[in-house]
Amino acid sequence: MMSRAWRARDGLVLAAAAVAVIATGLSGSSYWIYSLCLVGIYAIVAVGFNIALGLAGQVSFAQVAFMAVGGYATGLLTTKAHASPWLALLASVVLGAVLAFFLNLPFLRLRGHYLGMATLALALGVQSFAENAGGITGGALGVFGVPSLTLGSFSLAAHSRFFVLVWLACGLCLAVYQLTARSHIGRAWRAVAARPDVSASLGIDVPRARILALVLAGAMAALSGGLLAEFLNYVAPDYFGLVMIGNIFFMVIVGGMGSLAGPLVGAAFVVLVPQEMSSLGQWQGVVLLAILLGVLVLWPTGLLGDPSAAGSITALLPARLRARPARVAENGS
Amino acid sequence: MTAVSPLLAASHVTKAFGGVVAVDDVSLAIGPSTVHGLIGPNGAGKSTLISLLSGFTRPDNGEIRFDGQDVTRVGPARLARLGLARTFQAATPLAGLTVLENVQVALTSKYRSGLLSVLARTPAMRREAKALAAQARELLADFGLLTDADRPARDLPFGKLRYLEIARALATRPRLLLLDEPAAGLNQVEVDELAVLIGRARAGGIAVLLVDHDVSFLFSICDQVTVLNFGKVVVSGPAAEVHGSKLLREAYLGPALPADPDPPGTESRRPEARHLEAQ
Repeated sequence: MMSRAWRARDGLVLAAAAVAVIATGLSGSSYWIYSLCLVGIYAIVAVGFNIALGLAGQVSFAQVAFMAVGGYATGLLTTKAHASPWLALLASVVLGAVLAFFLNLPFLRLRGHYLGMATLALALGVQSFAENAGGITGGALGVFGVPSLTLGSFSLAAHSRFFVLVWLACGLCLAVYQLTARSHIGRAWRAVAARPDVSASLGIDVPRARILALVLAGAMAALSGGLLAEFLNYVAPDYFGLVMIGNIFFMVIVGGMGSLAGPLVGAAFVVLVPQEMSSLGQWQGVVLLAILLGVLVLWPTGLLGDPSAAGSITALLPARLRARPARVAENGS
Repeated sequence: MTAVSPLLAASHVTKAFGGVVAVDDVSLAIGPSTVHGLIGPNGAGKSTLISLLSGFTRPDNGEIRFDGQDVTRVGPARLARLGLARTFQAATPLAGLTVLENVQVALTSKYRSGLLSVLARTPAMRREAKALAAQARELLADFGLLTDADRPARDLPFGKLRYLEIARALATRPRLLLLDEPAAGLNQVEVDELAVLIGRARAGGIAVLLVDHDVSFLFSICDQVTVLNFGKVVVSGPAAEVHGSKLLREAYLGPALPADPDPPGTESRRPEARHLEAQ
């Protein structure tokens, strides 16, 4: 569990985020509502990944694949099968969870670089499939005309209405994160992340703990992808490539692994910084990466990560690359 | 070990790493509620044997039965749930977890509530969490760690880390506890306390397999002792018999030579050797 001070900081940031979201919703500013819709959608995939990486310590690049699954399932079910967008969204989440279960099973035996390479291959494979299976997915052009959600005759097409749905969904994911993190399930995840061998010796079913985290992460990624398709009324393969993989890691690591509000901060960074710096053109990526490096050097556990907790990106590095920042030095290794 | 059927019975267990036979045709039986010592020089195969018995390593040959059940190919997590717990040679606090959480983690398999009851925060789930937290606190109290409950586990001083390690293993409710050098690095007061704790575990019906380098400590609390050398059992039996055995001395000091018994400055510098020489 995070120390009290860090939990308090987490709560404070969460409250500030809630105020910012509500204020934006009330302001009616179409620019900010559009931006915060994207922030909410990105935050959902990040909250899921925070369960997998931040709590259970699973370095998976495949999170983006389940986001693509959600996006395409929603897009194709509504346009080709003419299913209700609500049903399509629900089916996307279920499909994301089921695929996360089966596709992650073979990865459970892999660790370190091998796990990274295998999950990266899956992620790029899914994107490549979407790009090349034109008959099903619409190829590189993607799926157009994804119908907006409606409640009876009340359409959520307007961004100001969709905004409410996105943030309700994000709140739900945050609740799932917090409830599991505080329970024996979350405790077991953190134990498995710290020492899988010791956890096993204490009777914890390590593969089962990992797969549960990955299934929840996959479901949230699919929800995020489905909402993105609904938001843009469109889904295309280039949303689910290396840039999104980078964004997902960036959000969780900069926000702070294992912190409740961290993914929100990370999502705000990933969406707002490039928008506000659009004049920089192609230098945006450089600036984002500079921020990432700066955060990792100054706060190795991310902006909201607890330095006393295991969840730090440096813990995933080989020992010789690990910096020993003064703030955690008192804890020894 | 004749009348009572053994709790753990390893027969003809062999494990080789490449060309090195770390454990060579070892048979071992541990009865219920006994403290069984395992000693031998460095590289004798003690840690490999612990690893084999606790399911972390699969033997190349031989069979391991726990409570009558064949567990030769059973992994550590299931063995722990069957009642076989172990500690590790190096202290292994779960970083990022508090002292209390370290013990609570060992109770994970006792929880009946699943993901859905956790998400719904059902009253049954909350009751269960409360009851198991109380159990964990009780264990901490037994080991004098209650005041440290909310500290990050890795901030504990070394002696307390050792206790936490044992408290955590006991939380799984084992019938057999494998302790891999629990006294290493402890001072004399702490070693004495450890002996009391091990005696208490035995009194509570828990069998203990104890690996240690400290020969006097080991013989003071063990009912049975097995001596390993070069992966083989040299001698095994009641502690008093093994203690007087020439084979024990030879395992550490080599066969007695008529002229120059121990070149000074080599093996006889080791504490266990000095203890044996003193007899």
